[in-house]
Amino acid sequence: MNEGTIFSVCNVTFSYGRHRVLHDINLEVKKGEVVGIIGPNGAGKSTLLKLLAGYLIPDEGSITFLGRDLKDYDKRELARHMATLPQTLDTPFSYNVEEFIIMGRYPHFHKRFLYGDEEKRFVVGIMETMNMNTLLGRQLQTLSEGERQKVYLAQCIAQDPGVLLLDEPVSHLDIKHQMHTLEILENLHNEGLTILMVLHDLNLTSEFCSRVVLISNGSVYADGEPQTTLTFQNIEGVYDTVVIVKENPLSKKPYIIPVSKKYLKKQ
Amino acid sequence: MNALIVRNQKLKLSARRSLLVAFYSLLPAPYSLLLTAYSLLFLLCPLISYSYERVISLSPQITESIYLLGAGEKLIGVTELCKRPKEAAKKERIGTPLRPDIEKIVSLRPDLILGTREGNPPLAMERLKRFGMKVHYFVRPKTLNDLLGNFLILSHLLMKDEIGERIVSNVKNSLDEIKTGERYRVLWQVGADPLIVASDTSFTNDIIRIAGGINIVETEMPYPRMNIEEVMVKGPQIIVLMDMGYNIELEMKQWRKYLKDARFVVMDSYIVGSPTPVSFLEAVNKLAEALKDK
Amino acid sequence: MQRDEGRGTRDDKNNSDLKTHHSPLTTHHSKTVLTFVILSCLLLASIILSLSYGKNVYVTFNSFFADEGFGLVLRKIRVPRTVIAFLVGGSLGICGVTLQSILRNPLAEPYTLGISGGASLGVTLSTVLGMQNYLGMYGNPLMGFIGAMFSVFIVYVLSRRKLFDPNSMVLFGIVVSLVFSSFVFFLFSILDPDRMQITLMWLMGDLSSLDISLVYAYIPMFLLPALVLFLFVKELDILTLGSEKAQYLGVDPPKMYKVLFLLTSILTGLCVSASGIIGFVGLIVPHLLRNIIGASHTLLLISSYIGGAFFLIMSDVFSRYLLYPVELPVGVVTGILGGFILLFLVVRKT
Repeated sequence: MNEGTIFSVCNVTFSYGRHRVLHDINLEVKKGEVVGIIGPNGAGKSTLLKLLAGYLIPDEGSITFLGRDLKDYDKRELARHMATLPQTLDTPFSYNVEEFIIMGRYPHFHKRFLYGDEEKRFVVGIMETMNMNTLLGRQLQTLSEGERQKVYLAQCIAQDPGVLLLDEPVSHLDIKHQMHTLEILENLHNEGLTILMVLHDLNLTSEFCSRVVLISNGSVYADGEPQTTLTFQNIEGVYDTVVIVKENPLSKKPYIIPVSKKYLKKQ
Repeated sequence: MNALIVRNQKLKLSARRSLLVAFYSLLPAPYSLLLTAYSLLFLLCPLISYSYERVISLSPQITESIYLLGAGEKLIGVTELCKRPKEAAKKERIGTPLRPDIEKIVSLRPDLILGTREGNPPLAMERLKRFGMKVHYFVRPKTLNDLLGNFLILSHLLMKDEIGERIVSNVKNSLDEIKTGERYRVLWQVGADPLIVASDTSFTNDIIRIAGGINIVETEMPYPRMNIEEVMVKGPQIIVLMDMGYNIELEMKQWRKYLKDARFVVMDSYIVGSPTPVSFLEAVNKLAEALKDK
Repeated sequence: MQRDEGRGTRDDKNNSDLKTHHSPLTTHHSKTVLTFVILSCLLLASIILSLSYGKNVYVTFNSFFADEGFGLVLRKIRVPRTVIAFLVGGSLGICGVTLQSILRNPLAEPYTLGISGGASLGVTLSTVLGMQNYLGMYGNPLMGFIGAMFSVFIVYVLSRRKLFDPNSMVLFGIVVSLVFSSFVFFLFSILDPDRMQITLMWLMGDLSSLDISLVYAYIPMFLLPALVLFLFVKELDILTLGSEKAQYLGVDPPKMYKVLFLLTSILTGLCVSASGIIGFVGLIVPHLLRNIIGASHTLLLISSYIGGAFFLIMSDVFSRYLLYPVELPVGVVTGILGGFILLFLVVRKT
């Protein structure tokens, strides 16, 4: 294991009660990668992310983060290195945007009673970078889905992490906000952030990820660059759907076209 | 008022009798003989059941009153709370006033069950009636006269009229003999934490009034929860404390902090809950003594 | 992290922006300062009213040191009562906020964790066993507190297995409270109704029963857990996001739930032991203030303390003087007032 390894997952198995979700997972994530974790519903993607985030503990095997066993990390220390955005995040109470984002400073905040000006400046800075100035002073509940997702992301960024874990960050957004969010993530990646995200859309995965991990029935089916992982054989084998894979003219990345059954008959 | 009820009951009976006699005299001979035979039977029955020999009391004050009337041997069942007089402890227990043991009562085959409208659950009483039991209700007394009236009715039911009337007139005379001088301010404390008192509209107030005191609490409610400030403003000279679940020494200590000159009288909690004419008199005397010593 | 270079430039860029921006952090600031000032004024007014009702303020101040008459009333009756109303009201307020945040439910309130059953049993046992004979005026409050802490202990032990998951804690709390309440009713049914009547009335809320020396003892006991609770303002914010996200932000949920649960239990137990069960304060005040001030606990917590103290002192004034000289149980007044306010809020929402 060398300096650039963020995660090292060895022979990890995990079950929810008697139901085995993940089996013998081996994975290595290096610094600076943008990893997309994809697979059918119920394959174990979210579970894998939760294991990597330290929320769940594997039944067998081990996960190493930055050279140390993940279990050994104090929660606060871990939060300084890693920020995780779960699939659903809701609070029945109405915070305004700054109050919400400043919570991300908690892992770095020591001993004092209330957040100070330094933290507040940090928050304003993040909002500036992410082009969120229009959201200043707004209540979280009055925002649209896309705007709220930005705020959640900003809170993660406020943790000043080196690694970002996201569980389906764009699944419920419209195409504008999908692209927007992923572009923000791309910028962050260019600044040195390592990103792991569970995604649903194969094409977005192809566009924005440097590496794709395809999970099926609790094991890693394929793992590599989009060109090698997103082949029609892999996709049909895992999703049981006929697809045509072409090349995106602009990015040269794989472009997946699902084929409806009515066209198959004609052949 | 209760004397009227007693008289009415007597009148009803005599009216019934005279009607029967009139009807009887107008009948032709053979029928009148038949009727005589039947009538004798019917006339004898009320006479027999008119004397109640198996009595159950569902209230401590009724139990105590029965013993005062010398009818203790007629009692076949009392409640758990009937502790006065001591002889009552030997009687069969039939539950509490709020939860009478219906089955046990029925199994004892009483011919009269005595209870109070407020102290006994009406549903239980109705069930007993449906079993064919004779049940008599007393109404909670609001004044001394109510109390004495109840006592007289009880004495009539148990055929101890003379004793009853004697006791009542003795009590009345003794009460009349109490001379009252200047009226002293009295606070009658029923509960502590929160402070609950007997006001001038309560039954207990009659004790205060006859003993020569004046209640400092004047409200519509008989047993209100009282603001301590009012007590301090009115400054009672006598505070009556009762054995009702709060600690008496503690209360005395607390009161002395605000009212240095107050004097205390301790009363039995029976007075408020289950008074008889005799216990009423005892209470009045006790209070009057305390007032006199001032 | 390699991104530090990026961080630096971002900061410089914003220092100047901060001045040109009418930062909503500052407008938010002024709105809350205003609310704060209003609440504090209301509280002060209610304290003055509670102390000087019926007389004018000047006379009140002068009488403070008089040896008898109104001075005595003031020192021995009104001051302890107002102090306790302040402490209990404030504590119920912040306990309400804490529980609403932990349970992520704006309708939670301090008794949700099941304190009331245990405290009732404690007080009833105290009456039955005649604890006042041994412990004097400390009898009932002490037994009430012990009863409350006993039920807390049971809920704690049961919750451990579930890692103090808040929803499980509520369930355990309700069950434990019900079981204890059944014992109380059992005692009621077999014992002298007169004695039980008194316990029943106390359980409806009574601020009058405490002696001034007891009040002095209570002051630090109430203030200490409250101050500790204030230290967890940041964690409370994060816990409203749910236990998973809270963990991702560096908070340890089981440990936090345990600590907060303990603090609120102690405070609520103290409240019940001092003054019986006074409902609605812990529900209405946080609920209302959340709508006005927002959910950030830095302001919400202290405002709830002040708001709760104000609400209870005013309710106490009503209970004392509405039907003078008859006194209403203060729990009844908070119930009616609180009920109307809640109704009004619900109707307005729909």
